[in-house]
Amino acid sequence: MPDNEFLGVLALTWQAAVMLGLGGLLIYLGIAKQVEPVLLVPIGAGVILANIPLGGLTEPGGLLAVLRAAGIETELFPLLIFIGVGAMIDFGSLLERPYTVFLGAAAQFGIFGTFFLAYFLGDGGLRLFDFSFKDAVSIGIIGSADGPTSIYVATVLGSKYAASIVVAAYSYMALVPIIQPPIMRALTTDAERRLTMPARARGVSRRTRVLFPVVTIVVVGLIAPKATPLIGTLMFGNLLRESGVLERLSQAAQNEMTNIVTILLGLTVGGMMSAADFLRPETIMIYVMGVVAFAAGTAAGLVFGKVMYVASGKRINPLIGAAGISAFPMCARVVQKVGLEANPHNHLIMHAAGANTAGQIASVVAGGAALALVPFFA
Amino acid sequence: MGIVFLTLGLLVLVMSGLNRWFGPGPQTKQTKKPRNA
Repeated sequence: MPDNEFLGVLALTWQAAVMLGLGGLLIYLGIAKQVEPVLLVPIGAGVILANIPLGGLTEPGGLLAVLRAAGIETELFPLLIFIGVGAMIDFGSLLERPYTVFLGAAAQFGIFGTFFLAYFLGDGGLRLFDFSFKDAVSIGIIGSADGPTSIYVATVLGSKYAASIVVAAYSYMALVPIIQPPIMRALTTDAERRLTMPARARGVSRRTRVLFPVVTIVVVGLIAPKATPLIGTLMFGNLLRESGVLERLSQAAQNEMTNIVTILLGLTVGGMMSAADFLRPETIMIYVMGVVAFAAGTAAGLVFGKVMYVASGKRINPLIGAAGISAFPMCARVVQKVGLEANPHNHLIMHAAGANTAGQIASVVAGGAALALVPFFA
Repeated sequence: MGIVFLTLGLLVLVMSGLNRWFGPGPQTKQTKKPRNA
């Protein structure tokens, strides 16, 4: 046994020291600034654990290596999270206002726009960065504003930037209230933002609520089969919620299971951030493109909202288009806030929630479509 | 984007049909007033 086996400090490189600092920063942001603490604190702890020299947690048989093999490489963790997310989401707003589904679809433009940009900067054009076709697709999925889908797609495609992509996706979800409002104000007029919409809508029967998850699995599964694991788990969770007879299981999925998997997922994602993989120009570029992805998705949703504003005879407030990206429920809250700023009687939250939940389904479909298309081009 | 719009369009079509078929939710149904009211 080498003498320095007991002295990790002798094996500490500057890169590992930077990563330890980064882990500390993530923990600080989570606790002191309340930025997505549920994720950033476990991720920060994972970064520190993984970068302690000679700690052995990421070596074969180590805790983080075992968790990665069991939960990330098998895609198990994101799918379990999706059961909990499905149990948490009330799709009633979407079912009452079916037109909002198109706003959710339009906002996915951020995925495709960012993909083209990443591929152009990488192997598909300028070759400034080491971005393969699969890496570019994985980076584009940040634009879905959907953490589990980002993890799933990046893992299935085997992107070497999976950890950076996941951290970027979750970081920007927390920054939605900062990123979106300037774009919303720039792309809409004051008159558009002031437009009120009726808060009440035609109700939804219990049968429709129960049938919705089942029908969604079948429809999405038949058109985009690669999305079946994601949409299947999301809608299974929603079925637990809406069945009305599985309250205990629904609560377990929303709380116990989601909490446990979040702890394990956060630690594992943090554990994937080793100095060699993380401290590269590509990582910084992924963070830059994450902002581009969120901004492009927001802008596309708003532009489509303006189209609906005109097509509906000025009855649809284009602001709700910004809620089409699936960061739930932050986007809907931001729309409500910006709408209220323009008109104190303007309550857009239910309409925005419809677009927001539609965005959740749309991001899964977009992820499935991306996975299906990659083999034809890669 | 085409696949996303197609899938969600089809989904909304099916769900709108089902919702129309099964009627609105109980919260919007007209409730009968009690006779003695």
